[in-house]
Amino acid sequence: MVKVSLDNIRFSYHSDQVLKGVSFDIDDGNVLCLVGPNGSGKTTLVRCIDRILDPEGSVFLDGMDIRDMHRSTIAKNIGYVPQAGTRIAAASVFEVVMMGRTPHMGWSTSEEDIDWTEKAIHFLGIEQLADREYNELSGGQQQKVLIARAVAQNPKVLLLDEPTNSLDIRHQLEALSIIHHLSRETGITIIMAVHDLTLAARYADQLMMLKKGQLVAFGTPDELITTERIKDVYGVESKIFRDTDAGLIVTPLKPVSEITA
Amino acid sequence: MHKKTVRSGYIYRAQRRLVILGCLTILLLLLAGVAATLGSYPLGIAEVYRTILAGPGSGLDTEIIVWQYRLPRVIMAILAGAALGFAGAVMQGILRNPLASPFTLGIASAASFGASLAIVLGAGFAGSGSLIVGNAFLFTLIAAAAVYGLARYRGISPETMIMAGIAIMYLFSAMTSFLQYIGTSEDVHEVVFWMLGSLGRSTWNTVIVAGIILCLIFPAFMYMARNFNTLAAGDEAATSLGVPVEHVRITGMAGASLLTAAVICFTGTIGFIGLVAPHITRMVMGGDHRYLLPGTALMGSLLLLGADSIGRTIMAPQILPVGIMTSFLGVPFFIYLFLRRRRDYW
Repeated sequence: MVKVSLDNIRFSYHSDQVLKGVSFDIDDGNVLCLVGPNGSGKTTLVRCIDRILDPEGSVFLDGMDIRDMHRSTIAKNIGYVPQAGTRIAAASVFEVVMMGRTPHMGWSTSEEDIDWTEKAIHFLGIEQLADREYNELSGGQQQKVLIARAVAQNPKVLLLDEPTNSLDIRHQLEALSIIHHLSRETGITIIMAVHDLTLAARYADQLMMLKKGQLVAFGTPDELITTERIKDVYGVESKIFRDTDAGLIVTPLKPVSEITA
Repeated sequence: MHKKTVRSGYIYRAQRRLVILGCLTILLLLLAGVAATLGSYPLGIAEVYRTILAGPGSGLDTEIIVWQYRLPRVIMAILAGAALGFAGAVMQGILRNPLASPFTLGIASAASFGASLAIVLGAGFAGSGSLIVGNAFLFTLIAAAAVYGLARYRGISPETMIMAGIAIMYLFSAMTSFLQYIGTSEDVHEVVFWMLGSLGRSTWNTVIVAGIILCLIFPAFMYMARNFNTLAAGDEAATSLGVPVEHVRITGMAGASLLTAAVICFTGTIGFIGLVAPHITRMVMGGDHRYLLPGTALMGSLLLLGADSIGRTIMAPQILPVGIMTSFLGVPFFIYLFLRRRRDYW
């Protein structure tokens, strides 16, 4: 199990500072969900952890600054699942999943790479899609293929950027339970940005709440999700229910008026 | 049982691609032989192959015709088609844009301007004998550097490179038009003829120069083929999969520009091959650059050699410029493939 540490991560798009010093340590192979309102820096933080963006401050993997690692070494350790939507020209699902092997493979395709690709396809249960053209798939199917690609990559830490975005409720549940299952099966650390608080509460072992580029709360869903905090972070009045099947349910009621917010 | 089916599709396609590459190679060798029989002096295909296999200096009656006149043109067609197709495939891949080609990115129009400058004003950088060639080559590289410089300023993304390329293309087109406006009618005629593209100026020297550059760049691009594949997933995904995105994009553009320059400085601007050969090949073979790149090179050679052969015979003894023929021949073929394709390939 790898230890991920962030030390005072700051990032600005031009003059707009999006992350204002985020620090945390995690060293358990759990599912960690980043929640927070639009513009709070969830996606930016995910990209900074993978060094797709180059932030100030440091990201450490088992004590080693990833700034000192070669790009392909980072890729062997950290996987990233972007939001579906990018078209991939003339590639079958099998080929897209195999792209996950890029940091491991040489010029020719080894038996091991094919094995991993196959394993990832089985893990996601998308065998029947393997020979289809990626561009022909629905958004939900594409999202699964992108998760399979990250599984084939075999990283120690997996980052996901709102994997349920633009999926219907069935696909949302499927995607998140596959991710949860992956964490339990392989012990890899999963960090994902999620919009929906109820879904995040159900699948996360721990939640991290961001507000305006700062980490405001870190803990288990039960500790973290309270009506006061939702009011403070999202500016919304809400009710929280606890259900034996669904777990914690957050129902937003109305925005708090400008003056009190 | 289930396990077998998941990988079998991939393995089948990989084998099928090798077969297609083999077929294209055989087809090209045959077409090269046929192309060398065409001309005012009639030669049989067996005679042509015998003369080629006997090598230069064999003393056969047909030696001079085949080795001095026909082969340079045939080989230049193969090299030019391969280089233009190759450059187009790489540009489309690294810019993730189906419209990218040496033409749409200003490189060809820069070559035209360089040639026009030599023809109309007699101005240039090389010695007088190779003024047109030197200018065309140099301006191609200037255009590539300008595209790079402009894109660098805003970040090397596909969008910035395409916008910069289009801007450069219009700039050089306007300057060429200006030269045509002030030039004499003989000059204008020569410029227009140069821009139509022709293999008639091919000699062993041009073959050797173009061949060397192709031999240098081809292996480098083949080596990068995996990175081109992963780049198709988008900049972010490719970065996170360990691909040095900017480096691949810059090297790819530089190599593709050099390839284009090495060919069109001798042949003039031969359109269409760089745009369409990659698409035809992608439709037939898929997007894996390890197969797509050699496939496109073969496809480009076939298209260009085929077009030139038809251009030389259809109105003989009048020879039609190959730049015109590539479009006449390639467009219907392309439209046919485009309409009957079953997969949503781009």
